[in-house]
Amino acid sequence: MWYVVGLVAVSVAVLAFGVWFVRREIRDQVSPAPLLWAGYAAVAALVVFGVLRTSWVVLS
Amino acid sequence: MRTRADLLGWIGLAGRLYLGFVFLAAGLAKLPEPTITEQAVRGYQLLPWQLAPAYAIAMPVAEIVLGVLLILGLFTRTAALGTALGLCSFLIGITSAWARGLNIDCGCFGGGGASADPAYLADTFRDLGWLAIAVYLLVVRRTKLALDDLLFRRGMPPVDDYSESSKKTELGSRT
Repeated sequence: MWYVVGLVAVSVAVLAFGVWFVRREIRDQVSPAPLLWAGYAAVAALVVFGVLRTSWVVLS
Repeated sequence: MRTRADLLGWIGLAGRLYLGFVFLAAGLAKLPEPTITEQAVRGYQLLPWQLAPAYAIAMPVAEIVLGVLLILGLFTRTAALGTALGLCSFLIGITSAWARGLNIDCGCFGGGGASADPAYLADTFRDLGWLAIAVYLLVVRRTKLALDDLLFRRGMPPVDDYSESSKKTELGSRT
């Protein structure tokens, strides 16, 4: 149970870091904003799927 | 003259080469032994049983591609993102096996499966160190001796060199 709580907390921190990173890239005009947010959405979906799958396996 | 961006770039080159060779070595060690890698993947009991053979082939190929890209400095930040995601998945695999009380070898450089003496703590700290390097490569933007510079950014000033203070100076000089 504690493992899942820790995993979710770390994942939320990773997703927050991703938002900071994307906003920084947009601010400095490194890549177009839609491309960056699309990339973020893809990575975030992967992270959420990984967390859900691992939590289900660990708790079952 | 050496600037802060130069120093960060040289550190990035060292990290890129180190991480690149680690991933290349891991991929080359696993690629000729898909059956053993499949056994190692199944040992984690995370992926559906049917996915293990495909994963056992795709993972070493991805590691080799990412390793070569990092060494060459080609699509460096995309490769660093892929490497970071891969390392996150390895960390989840290792720590979840630890939390479930499984006794397996990580199989990071070939081998894997059941083990009487798993080294979860060492594996976790090692992967965290590599993850830190991958995140550094994502954040630093430019590294030295990278093909990216030759192919995509010739003549462009580095973003980090164009600091807020220099923008203010330019604005100030106009008024």
